[in-house]
Amino acid sequence: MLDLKNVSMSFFENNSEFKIIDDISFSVKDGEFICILGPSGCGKTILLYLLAGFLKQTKGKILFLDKEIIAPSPERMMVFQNYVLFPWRTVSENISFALENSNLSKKEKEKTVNKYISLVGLDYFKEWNIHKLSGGMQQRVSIARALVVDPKLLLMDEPLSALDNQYRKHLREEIEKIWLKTKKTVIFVTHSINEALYLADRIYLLSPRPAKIKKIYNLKHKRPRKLNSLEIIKLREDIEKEMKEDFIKTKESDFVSNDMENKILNVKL
Amino acid sequence: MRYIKNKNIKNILLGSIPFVFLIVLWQLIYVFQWVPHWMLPSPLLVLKEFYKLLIDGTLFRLLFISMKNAIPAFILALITSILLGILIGVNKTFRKIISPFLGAIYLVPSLAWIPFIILFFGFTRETIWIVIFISAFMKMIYSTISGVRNVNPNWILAAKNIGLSKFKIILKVILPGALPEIMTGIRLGFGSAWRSLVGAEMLISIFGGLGKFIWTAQWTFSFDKVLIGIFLIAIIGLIMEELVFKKIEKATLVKWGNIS
Repeated sequence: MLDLKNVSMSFFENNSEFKIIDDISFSVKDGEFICILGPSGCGKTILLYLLAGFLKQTKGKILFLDKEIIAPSPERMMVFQNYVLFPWRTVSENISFALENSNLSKKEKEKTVNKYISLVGLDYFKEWNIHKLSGGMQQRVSIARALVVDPKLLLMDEPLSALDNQYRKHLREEIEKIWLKTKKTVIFVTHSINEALYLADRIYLLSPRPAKIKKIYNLKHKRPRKLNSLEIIKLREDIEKEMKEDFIKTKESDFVSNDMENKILNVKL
Repeated sequence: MRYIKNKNIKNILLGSIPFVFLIVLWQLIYVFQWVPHWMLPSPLLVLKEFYKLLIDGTLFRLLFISMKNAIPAFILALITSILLGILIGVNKTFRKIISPFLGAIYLVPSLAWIPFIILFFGFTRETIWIVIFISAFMKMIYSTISGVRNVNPNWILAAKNIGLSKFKIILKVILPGALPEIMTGIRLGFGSAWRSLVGAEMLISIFGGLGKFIWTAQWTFSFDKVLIGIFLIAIIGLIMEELVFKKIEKATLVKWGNIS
């Protein structure tokens, strides 16, 4: 359903080229759970923004359902790292925001919203204000907002990284359950090896910036996975070794900083 | 003070300390005749005169005139500053064109325009309106621009993700996102308008309310009336600030999660 063909992305500033993504190609089939694993600041978020249609790659092609991605679309919904909810809206209002453009009647909208509130287990908090919720609960709202439009592809940008350890594990399991229930195709960007090992059908390990695919891991392990099984431990060791090699080599200037990310994105109305 | 449990009463008591201090000082000045009595009448005398003017409706009449001089211009400034502020905040080219112009105007006190406005509009209510408009508009537009520019860019991405039109993004994301700062701007804008109102009324005294009252009182050496005018202006300001704006602002900020 998703094909990346020799995708490269550069950012130009003062006539100098800042290469972020370097010749990435891969294909994703319907219903797969893909993890893009890479060190912080390697450009994996930018890759996700290309898939969302917020940015355009400088080279190569991205085909989604055999059509080139030219603009954002509710068929490809983004779940942001910092939830990006609207504080002036309640939980259910935040979720129904995604239906702002749909032709459903008011009643149907309400029904759909309620269905997804239940799916993420927030029935009790329906009318709550956002800032009264914990980070984990906010991320559930954000996931429900992405699912409510019934997208074909779910793009998740380190959705667990802002949470505390205990909750992270919990929500990881939750995301797996939701995926099994909804059968969505998921691209999940993370820098956590454990998250990738727990969730992914396939892991693309990226190099530091400019991001290239360094290694591919196919995981056929039964779900829910135990991260302390021998096979998984071996895989983890291998990934850790690969990442450590890179880590030693990288310089500060190699990172895509938040500042740089904002410049590249340059969000305009 | 620590024996007083009720927080509101405590705050009011604490806040009255400077007022009480001033009144005591004033009374002392009067009793010891540090300045002649015609220059500074006694607090009691001023209070009596205040009561008289309140009962015979003079103060309400003055207030009503001042409201008529201020409110239409303030509301117009409110609407235009928000609309234009959003446009400037959202559009970079437009911002680059307008910003230096706004910066220049911002530094000119609104009363300084009066001679020029009189030239075109004469000694009319419109002249007062224009002064109030400039004064309120300049305060509010900056808050709106800054509110719009501080809107989380990811909110806009989330809206673009579902294919919302520009107009809907402004309505559903940018405007509510900027609201806390816009509210602060409205509060500052009202303060600014209220201040220049009195100044404008002194100069355009045909249509004057409180400003004219103060200005003409000095010609008859009625300094009790001057003081009453000043007090009334301050009281209205205090009421608006404490009972209206602070409440509205707090309600927005609490809902927006900036204060919990």
